[in-house]
Amino acid sequence: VLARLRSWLHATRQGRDLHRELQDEMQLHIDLYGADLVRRGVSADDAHRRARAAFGSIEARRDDCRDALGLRMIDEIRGDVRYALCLLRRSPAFAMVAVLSLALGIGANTAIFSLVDTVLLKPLPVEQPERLFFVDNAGGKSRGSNAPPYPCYEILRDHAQYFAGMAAFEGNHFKVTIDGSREQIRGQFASANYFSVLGLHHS
Amino acid sequence: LAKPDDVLQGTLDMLILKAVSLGALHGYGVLLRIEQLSNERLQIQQGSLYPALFRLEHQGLIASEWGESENRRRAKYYSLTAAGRRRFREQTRDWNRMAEIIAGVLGTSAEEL
Repeated sequence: VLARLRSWLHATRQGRDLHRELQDEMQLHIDLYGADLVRRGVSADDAHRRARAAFGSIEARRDDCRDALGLRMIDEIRGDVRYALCLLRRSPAFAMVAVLSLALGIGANTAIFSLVDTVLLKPLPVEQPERLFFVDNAGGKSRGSNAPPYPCYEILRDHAQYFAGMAAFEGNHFKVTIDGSREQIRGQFASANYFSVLGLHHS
Repeated sequence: LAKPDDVLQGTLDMLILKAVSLGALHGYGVLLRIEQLSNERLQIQQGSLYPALFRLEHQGLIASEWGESENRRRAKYYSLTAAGRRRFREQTRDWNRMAEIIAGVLGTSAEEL
């Protein structure tokens, strides 16, 4: 198998040399056979013609040899690609539409997948994501956050029977001064046990 | 003079291995050697020889080297590799066994059953 791979790699790399070597090798064969025929009393012209006929087409033999080396596939693929490029060049409008629709299709697919991957497939980066639940008020009328008020959280935290722990957080905007310039950033208020409940250890 | 037989399908590789096992040969030399070994009773389709040589070299059973032919031309000489020698021994054994079996089958008469 190793020998095959090596020979194949060797053959694919030196396409033109291989072509010439095959030509030389087969031409020698025909000439030697012709010379033998002459030795057996055939006239020179006749011998040459007969030798050539007995061998058959060098072109065809060469293809057979490339086939034996496993190069046939490459030859055919190369031919197909060239044909395809030729067709595309002849109708650039069609080529453009094809390329664009492929690009859009691939782009849309990638975008959707990366969204699905983050939201559904990747587990949250906490210690036991399968045991994590998010509790929220349903049907609250207030604008913005529907979270229950903090005292409500305290009661829930202290009396929870089915949760190992309960942490609260609330999104908010903060003003931060960095290098003398004030910026507004998004952040969260969180209960003191926020990190320990999630199993996150700040490094 | 009887017309020589064509080589039985599938045996060309084995015959080539035998031919080059007796010393390095170029393509046409392989052809002549096989005809000589068969007392001119086998005839090789000249076109099928080179694909077979390439296949065998591709499989690592024979190796090739460029040298000079008897008429002082550049020629590719083929010789048997160690793997080729092993394969040739296996094929010879398998062939002999198969030939014996087939001969046994074909030679059986009604009384012997």
